[in-house]
Amino acid sequence: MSGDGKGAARSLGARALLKIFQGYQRWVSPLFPPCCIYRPTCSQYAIEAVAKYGALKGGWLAVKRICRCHPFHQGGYDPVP
Amino acid sequence: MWEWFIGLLSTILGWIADFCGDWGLAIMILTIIIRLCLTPLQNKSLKSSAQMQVLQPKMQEIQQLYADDPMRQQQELQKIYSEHKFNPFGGCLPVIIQMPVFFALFSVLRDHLPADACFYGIFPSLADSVSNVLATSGFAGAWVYILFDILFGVFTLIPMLLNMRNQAQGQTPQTLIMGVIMAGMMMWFGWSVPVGVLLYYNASSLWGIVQQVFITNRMMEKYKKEEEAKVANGPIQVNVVRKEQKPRPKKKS
Repeated sequence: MSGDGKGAARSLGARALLKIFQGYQRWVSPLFPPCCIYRPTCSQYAIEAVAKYGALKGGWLAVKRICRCHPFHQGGYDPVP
Repeated sequence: MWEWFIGLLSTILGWIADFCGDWGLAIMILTIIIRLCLTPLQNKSLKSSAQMQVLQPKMQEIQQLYADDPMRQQQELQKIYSEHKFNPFGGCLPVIIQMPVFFALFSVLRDHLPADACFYGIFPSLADSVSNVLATSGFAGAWVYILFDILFGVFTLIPMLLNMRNQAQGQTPQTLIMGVIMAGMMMWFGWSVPVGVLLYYNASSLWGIVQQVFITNRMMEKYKKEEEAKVANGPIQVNVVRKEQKPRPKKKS
């Protein structure tokens, strides 16, 4: 663990990403029909991943998750590793 | 790749315009073609989201029941998925993929539209923006353009209002505020883009609204009823946890 993610010492990038995702969840997402096939949803997954692993690795995990979220995957329960 | 895609779209638009003789009509036809291509996908994702809504309480129950045991939780959820042949045609990726298509169309209409492209007598030039027309020919010449900009905002707001009906009560005012802000931003953005973009967006939204009011909501009700009937008529589930079988102790002789 490089230490950029856990605890109070979050990098600027990680904090910015968290704010963006939370803003999306609160303001933007309710405007559109629910589409995510996973639980936790992609945006929740992104928040947890960035909070746990930092901006780079967490962000990468979130991108991989969104790429899994399409009609040819099963979906279901898929928490942050 | 991007340039290639934009080139392809503008060639197709050019063909349609040659065929029907009017650029405005061509934009609307292209819109309808794109919307028709997306319909089967939307229909499938509709079905799965109806299922999701019916099964939601059951899934939440499972999540609470096995909150401290993710493995077991996963297994139970999988069981529900397989029982209901849950094949979610949907997901976040298809939504994200649609965005580049919109941006490509936007840049086709902004950069590749001939200056004399008109929409019958309504718009003398589709490549002109609202602000430009207002500056050159005053309100008398620009009122149709302004009307289309207002419609741009209204058509952004209506689908969101329709969506709100499926939502929890507490969130509604917040969503309404956000929807109004977004519609305002769209109108501000629409003020300075070529009116061809507005025409595309308005046609596309109108199609979407008609689809939602006349098809989506009814199908949703139908699918929900089907799913509920399935849940109600299904066999009663009893969760039995079997004890491990122990070998019978041997009799002492």
